Amino acid sequence: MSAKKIFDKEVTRRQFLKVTGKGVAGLAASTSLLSLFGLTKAEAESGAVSVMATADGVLVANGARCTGCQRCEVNCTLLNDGKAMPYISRVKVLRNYYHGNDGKEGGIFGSFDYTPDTCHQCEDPACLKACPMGAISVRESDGVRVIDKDKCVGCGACARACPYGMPTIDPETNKSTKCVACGFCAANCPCGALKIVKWEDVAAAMA
Amino acid sequence: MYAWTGKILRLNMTTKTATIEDNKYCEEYLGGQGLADRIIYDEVPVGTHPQDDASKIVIAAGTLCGTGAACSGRTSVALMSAFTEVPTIVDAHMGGNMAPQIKFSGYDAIIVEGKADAPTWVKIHNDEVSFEDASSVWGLGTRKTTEILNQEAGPEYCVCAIGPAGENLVNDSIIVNSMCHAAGAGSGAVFGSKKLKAIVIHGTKSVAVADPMKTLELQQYQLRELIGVNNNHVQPSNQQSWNEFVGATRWQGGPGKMWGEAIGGPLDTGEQKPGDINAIGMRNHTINFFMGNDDVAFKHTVKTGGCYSCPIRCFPDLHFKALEPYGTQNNTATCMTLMHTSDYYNGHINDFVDAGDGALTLGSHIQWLMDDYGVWCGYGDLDYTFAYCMKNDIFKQKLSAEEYAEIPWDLQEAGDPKWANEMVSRIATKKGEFGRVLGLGSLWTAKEWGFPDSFWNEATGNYFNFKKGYIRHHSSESFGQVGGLINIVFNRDSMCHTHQNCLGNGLPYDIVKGVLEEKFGEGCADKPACYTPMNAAKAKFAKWSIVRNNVHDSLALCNWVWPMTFSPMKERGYKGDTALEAKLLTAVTGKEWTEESVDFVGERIMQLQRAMTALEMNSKNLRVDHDGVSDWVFDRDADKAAFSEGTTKLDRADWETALDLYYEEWGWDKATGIPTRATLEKFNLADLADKLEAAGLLPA
Amino acid sequence: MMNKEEHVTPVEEQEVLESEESLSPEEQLEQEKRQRWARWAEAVREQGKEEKYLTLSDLCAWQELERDNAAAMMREMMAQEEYKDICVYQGAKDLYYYTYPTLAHNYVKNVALAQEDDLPHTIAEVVRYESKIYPRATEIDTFGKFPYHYTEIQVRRALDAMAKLPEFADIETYVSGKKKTYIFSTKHLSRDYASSLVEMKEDVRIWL
Repeated sequence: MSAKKIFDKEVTRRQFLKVTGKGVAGLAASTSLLSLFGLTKAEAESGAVSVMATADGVLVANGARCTGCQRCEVNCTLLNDGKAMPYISRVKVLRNYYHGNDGKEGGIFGSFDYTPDTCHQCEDPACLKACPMGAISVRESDGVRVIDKDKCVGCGACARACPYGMPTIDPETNKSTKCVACGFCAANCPCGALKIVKWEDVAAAMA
Repeated sequence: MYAWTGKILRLNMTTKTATIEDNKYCEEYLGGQGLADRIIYDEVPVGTHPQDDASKIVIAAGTLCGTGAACSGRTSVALMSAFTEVPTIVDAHMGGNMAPQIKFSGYDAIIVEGKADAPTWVKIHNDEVSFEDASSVWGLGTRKTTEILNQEAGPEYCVCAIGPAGENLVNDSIIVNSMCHAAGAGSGAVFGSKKLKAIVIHGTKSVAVADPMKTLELQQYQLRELIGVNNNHVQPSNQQSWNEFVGATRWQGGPGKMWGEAIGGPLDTGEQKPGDINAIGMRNHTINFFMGNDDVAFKHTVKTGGCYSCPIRCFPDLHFKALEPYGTQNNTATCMTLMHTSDYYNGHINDFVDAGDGALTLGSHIQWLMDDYGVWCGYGDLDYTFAYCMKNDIFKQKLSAEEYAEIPWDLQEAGDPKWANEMVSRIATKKGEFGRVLGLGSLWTAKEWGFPDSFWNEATGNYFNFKKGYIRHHSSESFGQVGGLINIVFNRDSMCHTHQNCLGNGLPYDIVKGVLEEKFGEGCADKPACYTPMNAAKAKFAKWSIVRNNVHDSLALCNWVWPMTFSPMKERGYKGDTALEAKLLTAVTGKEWTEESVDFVGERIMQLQRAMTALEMNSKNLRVDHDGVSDWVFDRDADKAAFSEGTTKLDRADWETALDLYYEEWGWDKATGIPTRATLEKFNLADLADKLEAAGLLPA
Repeated sequence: MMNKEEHVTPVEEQEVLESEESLSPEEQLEQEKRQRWARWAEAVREQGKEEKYLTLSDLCAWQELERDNAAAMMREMMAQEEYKDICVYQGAKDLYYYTYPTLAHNYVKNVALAQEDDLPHTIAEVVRYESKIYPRATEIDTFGKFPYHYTEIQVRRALDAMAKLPEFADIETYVSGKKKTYIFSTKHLSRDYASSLVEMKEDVRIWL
C-alpha cells in the first residue's frame, strides 16, 4: 500500500479557522468550501450564514433556510439535559425570530431574515477566561470548550462574558449550559439550516 | 409531574389579580381543548353571552406541547360563540408560539375572566404576572402592537394581541400571535370586552419528560417513516426519483422548485426523500398548490414558516415588491387567501408584475390586513356572505343612499389594494351598516338583511348546516356521509381534518381504501363522487375522525398533519401508525397509554360538548334543532341520482339512516341525538346527565 | 463505464490466477458469472445513486455483448436473492435496469418513456395508468413537466394524430370549467365521471 497522508482533524481545523478567521466572508472566496456547505456566494455574503468548528466537523447555520420551528432548541435540551427547556438551549433562534438578529428589520415581523445563533467555540474563549471556578476547559480530544458541572457554581460570569450571549444558567440546576458540539441540532433540522460538515470533507475541499 | 405543569393561571381582569391553581383535569381531559371546554362548563353559566361580565375565555396548551413532539405548537381556545343563534361552546385554534410559552411559563392553561376598566396588557414571565396600561397600543393593529410590546417586554416574548376588530367587539374577530397565527370564533371580541389588548408571555422553565430518549426516538421514527406534509399528503406533486405516485398535493417542493426570493438568492428545494429529516421542511407549499399558475407563489417565497416545533412548514413567507407602497409587502398566504381575493374583489383582479400574480398579491395584502385589524373570515363565511351581497345587490338595497355612495366601490372595480383596506377597516371598526352587519357572521347578517332560505340552500354548497351561521368544512364532498356527519356536531365550521387528510393525499384510491378498511371495515371510504349507501363502517370512520381530532386538540397536535394514517414510504405499504400519539404520550408522561385510552378521552370531550350544546340551546332534540342540513346536499346535480358516478349528492332517506347509525356509535339517543345517561356516566360525566335531567332534556 | 479488470493490482492478479488454477472449468465459468453479476449489480446500484438507470444498450456497449445474450444474463442475475433489488422496465426501444426502492418503478418508467420520445405512446401509457390507478383524468400540463418537457403544441398535435388511430380510440379529452384540457382513457373512466373528478379537483373551495 502506498503511503497515504494521514488525515489530521486538528490541522484541518486550524486551516479552516484561518480561512474563516475574520468571519464568514473568508468562505465566499473558496468555491469548493461553499459547494461543500451547500451555500451560494451570495448567501455567504448576505450575513445570514455562520460557521463554527465542532468536534465532528463544521457547523453551518444558514439563515436562508431557517424557518423558525425552534426544534433545534428543544432537541438540544432533550438530549443534553433530559428535559424540554429551550431557554437553556445551546443553539438559540427564538430571540431572533420575531424581529431579526438585529432586533429591527428582520424576523417574521420584517424581512424574514433571522439566523440561529450557535456557540463560536472561540479561539480565545471569553467564557473560559471569565469563569472564576475554572469550570470551563478545552477538551483535548477535539478542542471543544466544555463545562465541568461539578465545578460550576452557576454564577453566570460565562454568560455575561460571552460576546454572543450563548451560555445560559439553568435556573433549575444552577449550572451553566454551553454547547458541546454534539451536532444533534443539525442532524434534526427539518430545513437543513443547521448542518454538520465532516472534517474529512472539509480537508478535501481545502486541499 | 411529567408533561403537564399541573398548574393553571387565572387572570382576573376586574381585580387585576393573577392566581395560580392546580389543574385537576390532567389525565381526564389531557389538556388543550378538553381542559378548556371543561373549564368553560364548570365556570361559565349556560346562556352567558361571550361579551358578558360572566364570560370567560380559556387559552390552553396540550399535554405534548413543549415536549418537542412534531406539530405540537397549537394553542386551543374555548369560549362562547356570538355568531350563533344562542351562545354555545366553541373551540378556536391557533398555531405559532403561544401555547409553548404558556407551558414554559409553568402553566397548562390560562383562564381570563372579568373586565378591566381601561385597556390593559398582561405580561407573564413564569410566576411573575403584571397588568400593564395598554392605552398607548389600544386602537393599533396587531403588528404594531407586537412591535411596541416586544420593545417593552423583550424580543423573545410571544405577543398574543387583538386588533381594532376585537376592541370594537366584532363577532368575526380573532386573537393573533407571531404575525399570522390566529384563533377565530370571536375570541378577539372576548379579549376586547375585557379590555385585554394582549397577553405577552415568555417562559424559561422546563417541561419534564419521563423518557427523553424514547421521546426523541419516536420523533425520529415519525420524521423518517411517517410524516408527509400538511393535510397528511404523502406523495409529491412532482416526479422525484423515489416516489411511485404524483398527486395534486400540498407537497410542492422538489428539484427545480425554488424559493425565488430567498436570502442570498433563489434556493432549490431539491429532492425530499422520506428518511431525510433535513429536507422535510422543504416539502410543503400550500399556496402554490392552490395557485399552480407557473409557480408564481414560489417566485415570491423568501422562506417558509409554521408553528413552534413543527417540521412541516405549512405556509410561505412571501415578499411582494408591488405591495411596498401599502406597507404589506412581507406576509404569508394560506388556504383562504385566494378566496378573499376572488370574493372581496368580485372578480376585479389585475396582474401586478407577472402574468397571473394578481390573486396571490392581492390575497396576501388582504390577509395582512385581516390579521392586523384582527378580523375573522370564519373559513370563508365572511367571504361568501360578502360575495352573496354583491351578487344579489344587497348593499344597494340595504345601505342608506348616503352610505352606499360614500363607499369607494371604484377601488373594488379597479382591483386596487386600497379596497381591501376600506373593507377590512370598516368591518373592524363597525363603520356604518356595511361594517357593522358584515362583521356579525352570516347568521346575523342574513337575519338583519332578510336573506331568503336559498342563501343556505342553494347548490353552491357552502352551508352544510342549515341556518346555523357557520360554513361547511369538508362535509359531504369528503367521503360522502362521513364528512357530512362530521360537520353536524360542532357549533362552528368543523375543525376536523382527520378524514380530509385521507383524501387527495397523492395515493391511489385502492391504497387509501385498503388502509382505511383495515381500521373501520368494508365500505367505510367511498371513491370520490362515487358514493354508496350508508353503513356502520362509515359511522365508525366519522366518529373516529372527530375523536382523534379531539385527541389532537387536547395533546395539542396539529390535526392538519396528524394522525399518521398514511406514510410516504412504499416499504411500509404507505401505511402510517395511528398509535403514535399514544406512544408519545406514554414516553412523555411515564404512564401507559394506548390508542383506546387516548381515544376514550377524545370521545369524552365530544360527549361533554354535545351535552353542553343541548343545555345551551335548551334543546330536547338536537337531531332537529342542531343537526339540520341544507337542501343542496340532496338536491345538487339535478340530472344525477344519489349514489351514481359523478356526484357528491346524498339521499334524504339514507341520511336519516346515517344519523341513526352515527348516533348509535356515539351512544346518543337515536330520536334526539342527545347523549343518554348511560353514555355520559361511562365517560364520568354524570354531572352533565344530572343537569340535562334537571332541565328536562335528558333522553328517556 | 470503467472495467473492473483495469484496476486490479499485481498482487490481486496473482491471487486471481492462483485461485483460477485450482478450479475446474465449470467452477471457473460459475465464478466468472458470479463476478460478472457483482460487477453489473454494482453498476446498476451506482447509477441508482445518481438517480439513473442502466439501459441494456449501455450494458452491451460497455461489456461488448449482444443484446439477447446480455438480457438473458441479466435475467438470470435478477433471479438471485442477493440481486432482488435490481429491476427492469421493458420499454418499446430498450430495457432499463434500476435498483428499487432507491428509484421508484414509475420514476424509471416515466423517464424511460421520455427518453424513448414517442409522444403518442407516452400519452397513452401515462393517461391509461392514471385513469386506472388513481383514478383521475391527466392534466395536459403533465407532459410539459419533468420528465417529459413537451410543449403544449406538441402534445395537442400528438392528440390530434392519436384521434385518427384505432389503437388510441380510448384516449379522450375534456376541457374543464377553468378552460384546462384533461386527457383520460374510456377503458377506465366514463366521460361523465372523469369530468366530475376534474371539476371537483378544480373547485379550490372544497380543498381549503
